[in-house]
Amino acid sequence: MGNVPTKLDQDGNPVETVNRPGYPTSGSMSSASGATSTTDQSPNRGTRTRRASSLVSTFLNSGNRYRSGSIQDPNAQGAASAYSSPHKRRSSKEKEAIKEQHARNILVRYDESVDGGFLAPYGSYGFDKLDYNADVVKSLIIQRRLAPFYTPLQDFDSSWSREELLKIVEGLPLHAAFNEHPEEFEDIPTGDLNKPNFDYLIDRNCTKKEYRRTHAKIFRARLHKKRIIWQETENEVFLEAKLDVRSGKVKNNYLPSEELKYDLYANGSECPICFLYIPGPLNYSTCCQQPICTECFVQIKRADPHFPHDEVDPTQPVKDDSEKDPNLLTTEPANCPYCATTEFTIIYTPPKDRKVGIQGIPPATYKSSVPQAGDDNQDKKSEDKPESKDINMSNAVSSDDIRPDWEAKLNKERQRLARRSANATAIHVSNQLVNPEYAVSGNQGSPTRRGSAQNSRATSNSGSRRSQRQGKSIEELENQMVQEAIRLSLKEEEQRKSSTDKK
Amino acid sequence: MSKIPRSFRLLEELENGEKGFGPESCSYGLTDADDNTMTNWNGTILGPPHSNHENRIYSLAIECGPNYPDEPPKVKFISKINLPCVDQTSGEVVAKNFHTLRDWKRSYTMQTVLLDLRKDMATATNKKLPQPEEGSTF
Amino acid sequence: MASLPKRIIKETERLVTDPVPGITAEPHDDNLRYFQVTIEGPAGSPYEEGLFQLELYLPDDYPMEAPKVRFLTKIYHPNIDRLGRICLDILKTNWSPALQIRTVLLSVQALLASPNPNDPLANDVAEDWIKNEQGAKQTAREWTQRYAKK
Repeated sequence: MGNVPTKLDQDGNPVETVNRPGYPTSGSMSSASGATSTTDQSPNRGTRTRRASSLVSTFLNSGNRYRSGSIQDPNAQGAASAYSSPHKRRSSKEKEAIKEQHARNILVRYDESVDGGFLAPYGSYGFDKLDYNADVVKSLIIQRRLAPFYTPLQDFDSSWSREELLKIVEGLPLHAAFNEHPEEFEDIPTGDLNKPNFDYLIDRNCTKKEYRRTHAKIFRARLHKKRIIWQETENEVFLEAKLDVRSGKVKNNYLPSEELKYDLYANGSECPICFLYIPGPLNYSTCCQQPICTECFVQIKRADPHFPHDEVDPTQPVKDDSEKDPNLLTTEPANCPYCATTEFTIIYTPPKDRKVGIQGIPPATYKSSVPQAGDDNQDKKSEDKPESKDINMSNAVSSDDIRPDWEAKLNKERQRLARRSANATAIHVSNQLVNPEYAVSGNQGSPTRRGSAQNSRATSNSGSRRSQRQGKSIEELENQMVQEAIRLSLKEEEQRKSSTDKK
Repeated sequence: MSKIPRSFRLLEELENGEKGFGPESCSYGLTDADDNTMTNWNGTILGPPHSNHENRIYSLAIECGPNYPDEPPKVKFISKINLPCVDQTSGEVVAKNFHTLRDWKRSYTMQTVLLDLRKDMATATNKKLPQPEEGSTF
Repeated sequence: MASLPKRIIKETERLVTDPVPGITAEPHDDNLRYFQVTIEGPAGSPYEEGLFQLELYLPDDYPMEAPKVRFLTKIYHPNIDRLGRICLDILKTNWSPALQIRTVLLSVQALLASPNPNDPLANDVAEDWIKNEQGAKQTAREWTQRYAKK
């Protein structure tokens, strides 16, 4: 781990040289960092992911933007710092700031594009389903390890002429239409969205619990509205840019050239999960080589924490979940949706002749490298699917990579259940504490793959065991350590006795 | 939001009812486990503490008609109870006197109804109402 | 989202243009996520000659969440309970977003052809099936005659 900081610098440098507003003439400087990511054979995926996320913040913060909801927003900065320390118990204010920050982070911005796609999803799935780590996903896209989020076409007809296709693509919005008035938020007041405090909307006489619940509901309803406003602002910026260019007043390097639009959409395919027509190349499952678009990929994740399914003992009455040992709660890595292979990962092979946008040439200057006659379309197609010799498994991306907090969530759920059963019976709790499996395993701190990402983030100031155990309260931990110490000293005593007996 | 059809909604409620919810204050289940129209249900409410209902268990009959959950269920107390929203001859919960049924929303469930009835029993004016003999029925 | 996802529209169209033999599925006019389904009992099974009515609903999170499927016609089967609920792994823990309405209904049809009494939902039926398979199959045939006549 000692070499991580230096690596960080190496990777960080080329990124900082990207001059966003100007987009100078060549994209050559970007190839350096592209090469770094492909030659990186580091087996530690957690380290890579971490580096990736810092890469994105360096990069995004270097830009100058003045739009509402931008990352430069002071609130957002506060949230970002809370983001980086997942080990502290967060206040509800911090949690809300993180949620707002996440909502800002998944806005589609036309000037944040990679190879003709974007860093945030089009919106085929609902907002509350976008629970992946946006920083990680963005940097994976910038590193060309994950296909960008393309704007999909609802339909595609291969008989369309070039002009017809271009007209359709020109009319595509940045984001799918929102459901502006979901039933969920029907009667919930949202007040003045510009004012951060909305306590005046809540009945003063309610109980603490009711206050918390109402507060959370109003927060979610407000965030839903804010997100729509933020995305609509981005849409307007995009539209104005297009109009300005059309009027011939200005040039805009961020808008794709006609050739780029055509090359993107003339060579797409239908994603087998969402059935939408998406520009290629798509991501492919490493196990069975089936395509999947990024918007569907970020939906695939571990099942919620659950008790093992096969744990039924016919001689015992069926236990209520609240009576089970919370430490039995478990989740498994997601399976491949196509062939059910465990630990689903995807691999992405970026287009060689279309490196545009971030770390590439300006989208407006893209020129097709293949003749448009279409006679070497076949060449292009075969390029999409990675040849097995090209697959570099260290570049594979799993759904745990884009949700590095999965283990923290599992621990939180265990804790929640533990608290609940602690309320039920004291006996039950004391059983748990002496349960050796629950105890910290002495000196044998095992380097398991659990929570590698969080661990690497935490190593700078605390031991790795501590961060593995981050889900537990200090008291719980202390109790366990005392129990464990007693157990070990008894064992030692026993061993000492038996060895003296033998003598 | 799409509309979950009646049957799948009731199956969800059945499963939630079997799991039990919160502190064991209310419960419900199908009256006839063979009835695949899932129309008739029975419910129980444990009387709220610090009221004249304390420690009493009230039985109710709930009927989820063909238009449930677009329309509220019909709810009837089997155990005798003195409560303003309950018809004192039939035991029926009179919809216009009980806000949960009057201002019914599709997202409401049988659980909502039972918990709200329990809250109604515990209001300042209702908790001191004299109650009929325990165990008597309508 | 307010509008119907493209995937559901396309699946519905393809069920019409390329129907599955022995299976029909049509959405309700007022709820395009709610399908009325019929499945013919597979030949050689106790459900042969029967036509079974089912209902299927695609929840908000479909295809990330499995469709909900239920038998409306009474059926004597170890993996289908008295309320018509089906015990089938792909409808629960083994759901995959790559599966479709079509594949789900084919799996239900396959379940009729090969019941699995060792993973029962209807315990009494499963017990009968294990102890007295011939008798259980006879009962299944009688129920098919009584409730699922075409």
